[in-house]
Amino acid sequence: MYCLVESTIDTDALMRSCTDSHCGALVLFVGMTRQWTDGMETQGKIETLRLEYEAYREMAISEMKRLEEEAFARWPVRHVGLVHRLGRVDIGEASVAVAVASPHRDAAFEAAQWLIDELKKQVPIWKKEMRVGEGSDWVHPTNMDSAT
Amino acid sequence: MSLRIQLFASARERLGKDSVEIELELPTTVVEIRRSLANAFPELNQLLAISRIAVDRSYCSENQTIDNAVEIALIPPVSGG
Repeated sequence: MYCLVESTIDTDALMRSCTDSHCGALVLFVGMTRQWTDGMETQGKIETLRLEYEAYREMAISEMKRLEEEAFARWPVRHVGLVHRLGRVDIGEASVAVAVASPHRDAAFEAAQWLIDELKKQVPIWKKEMRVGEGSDWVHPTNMDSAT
Repeated sequence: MSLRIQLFASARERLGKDSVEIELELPTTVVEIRRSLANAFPELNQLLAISRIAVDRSYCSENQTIDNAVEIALIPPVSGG
């Protein structure tokens, strides 16, 4: 299951849809908007007001589908759920959720880690960061600066 | 012929529109699309260097040939999650 949403991510519903009686493990990762970030250049804390997400929707859906299929091929997992929120996401709110269920926990942990890492590298979604006193910028990480 | 390139995030904001058109004879390659975008929109230059090109909703290699009118998009480094 994979989808893009424009309001609060319902993690309870996601977990309910990602399990069955063969599963003994369910891993849920939730990425949320962080208020404080260590700034290397500024030698201090950067304060984020909120994030705004934009997607190339058709391709984002097709990349999420590809990642899900690859996770099923690589690990013995029974359910994968990927949900990304678009539009404005305030501090402490979830922008992304990944759920993986499997008979045993190792596969679920590994697949969930791989899925969120790949989602951040491959799925065409972008965040714009609104900061206190510093305006706003699209985040376009390069290899030199991959800490998002 | 005229190819429409979809733009997102800072590329969209920098040009103030969500797509642009470039003139290229088909068949063409991703390298040619890049060159043509750089010539037509010098303000995209730095971003172009770090962006990927997607054809029909898949990332493609620089030498991929494009021989009919397809869905093309400029994909700046992504930052979902």
